[in-house]
Order: sequence, then structure tokens, then C-alpha cells
Amino acid sequence: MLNFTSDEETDRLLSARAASSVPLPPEISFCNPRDARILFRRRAYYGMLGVADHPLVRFLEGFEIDRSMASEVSKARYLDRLSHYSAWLGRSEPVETIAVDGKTERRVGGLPSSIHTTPVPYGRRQAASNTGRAGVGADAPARRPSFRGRANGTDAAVEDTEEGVSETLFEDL
Amino acid sequence: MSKTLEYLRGMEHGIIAVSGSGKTGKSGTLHGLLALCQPDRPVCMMDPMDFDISIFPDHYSKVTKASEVPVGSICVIEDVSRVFNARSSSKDPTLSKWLGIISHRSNIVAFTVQNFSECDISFMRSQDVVVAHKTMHGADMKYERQEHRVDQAFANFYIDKAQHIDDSMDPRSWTFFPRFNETIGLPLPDWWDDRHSKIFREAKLC
Repeated sequence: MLNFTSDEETDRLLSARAASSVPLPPEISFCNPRDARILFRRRAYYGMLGVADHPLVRFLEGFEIDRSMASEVSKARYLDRLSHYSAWLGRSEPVETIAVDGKTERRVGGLPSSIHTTPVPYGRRQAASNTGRAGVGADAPARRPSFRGRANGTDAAVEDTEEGVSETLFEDL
Repeated sequence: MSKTLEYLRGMEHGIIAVSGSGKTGKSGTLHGLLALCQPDRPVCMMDPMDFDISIFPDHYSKVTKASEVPVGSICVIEDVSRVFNARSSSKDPTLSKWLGIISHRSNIVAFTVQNFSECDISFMRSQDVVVAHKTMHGADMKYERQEHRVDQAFANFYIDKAQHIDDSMDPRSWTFFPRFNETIGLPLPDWWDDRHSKIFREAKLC
């Protein structure tokens, strides 16, 4: 693989992207390559001895992965990357993946125990604290935009119609 | 549910920056975000080149310079490097003066850029900035600003992952927001079509 980056950290992260297309567990993708090399050699050695699946061997291997990931956490250059790796150690998704279709939001992927799978309908939402809305009513319903003259490539003018939002209140999860 | 969308809905002033390589869905994402999170605010598109504003909704208008941006509106700049290129603030104080008062005038400045190295750093300083990353090709990554390169690498990773997790969404709809650690699949505005992604197709360079 050609390397387009100039620093080690970005190179490692780009490798993580490439690793998403091969069956490597994410903890190996984010590990220091030197640690991963040792881990794989050790795994091959135990495999050669026929004890790769022994519970003690697997326990020690998991312990080794945790140790190397904790080592990476301590070397993280950015505080937000620190929280990312810490989220890994906490066995939770570091990044939420959310699909929006204009009316509802739904979480995709992630750990089952941490997902709220019921689609969340749009409704009146409270504005975030310490922010204001300039000239906009917080309860104003969504409005389909109207167009001057032609719309969507036709000569017919589009009527200005209003669509009300769902009256269901958004529930904080 | 989404911290990013919740924050953008309550945003009164600040910067929204969408970066990514060409044809990765930056403009569609930007207008989709505005239609979703700030549907009732007037939008003015700032550009010195001529384009057909009538293909956009009625609450869109066109301006050519910062002094024409109305109070309370959202100013959209397609490819900010053409309007305010890198280091432009060192030659012309207009940008610095304008950014100094957007909080007073309740303006949001929303722009697309292919690479933050082409964008004046003034946009990213001393403002409430929400950055949205689309996919960036490896060759473009080489020239990206150091402070954004790590987030962009994460963006590539998580967008690629999202595309494989949920193939019901358009692959170009996925966007990574590093500030909120969210990858969101955003819909295009209802009125969007191919003309909106090529507004300068017939324009003459000026």
C-alpha cells in the first residue's frame, strides 16, 4: 500500500480505514504496529504448540490487547483521541452513527445494549442552552420552500404549501 | 438523539465548514443541513460569479460581498477558497472585520472547501465552528492542514464503515462531525437536483 501521509499517527489511522475491509479486529487496527507484531507472533507460537484455544492463553492474550491499547491511550496526542480510545476500553462505540431521513433519526450499528432502536420522530425541540434563535420562532412548523417561477426544470410555479411537524414531543433518552 | 443536529438547530451565529474531495456530496450535505436544522432562516449565497439563483427556494438570495449579508441570515459560500483564499486576511482586512461582527449580526457562515489548506485560517479561529468531514482521497490528505488531518482520517474510516453497515442510505450522504463524535447520514433537501450541484456550469470566470 502506498503511503500518502507524512506522520506516523495519521498513517496508523489510515491503516485503520484500510483494515475495515479486512477481518482485523479494531483493537489490532489501532494498536501500535510493534505491539500487534508481537501479539501475532505469540499467537502463532501458541498455535504451533496446539494450545491457542486454551482459556488461559486466550485470557492472557486479551490482557495483552488491553495493555497495548492502554499504552496507546497514554500516548494519544489529542484529548478527543484520548476519549476515543477510552471509549474502546469501555467497550462502547466511540462514534455514534445516525441515519436521518428528514422525519426521524435512527441509530445504526453499535452495541445492542446501547442502542435506542425506536425511530425518534421530529417534533418541537428545546433549543440548546446559551444559544438564541435570531428572528426565528422555536415552535415554527417546517415549511416546504416555494420557488420563483420555474421549479425542478418545469415552467409551472409550485404552490407554497405548508407541512406541519409531528406533534409528538421529543423525549430525551 | 443526534447531538450535532440538536446543536445546529440552536445555533445563532458561527461557522459551519464542510470539507472533502470533489463530488463527495459537500454542497448537498450543507444545504441539507440548513434545510433540516435552520429551515426558517433566510439564506444568502455569496459569490462574485454569476449563477441562476432562481433554482433555489424563495428564501435564498444572492450577494457578492460580506457587507451585503443581512442580519440574522445564513451566508453560504460554495468553495470558500474562490471567495476568501488562504492568507487573504493578511492582504485584505475585510474578512477579519466581517468575522469579528457575525456574532453581533447573528449570522452563520456556512461554506464548503476541498481542503482546509486552501481556506483562510481566520474562519477557524475565535468562532463557534462546527466542522463536517466528507470523504477525502489519500492524495488530497497529503496537503491537508495538520490540525484537521487526524479528524479527516477518522472521517474516512467511519464513513467507510457506515456505508457498509447501512446500504439503504446514499453513500455520499454520510458525514463525520469530529466535535460531537457522530457519523450522520443526511438526506438531500426535497428541492435538490443535479442543477444545484453544478451552479457554475455556464458561468464565466471573473
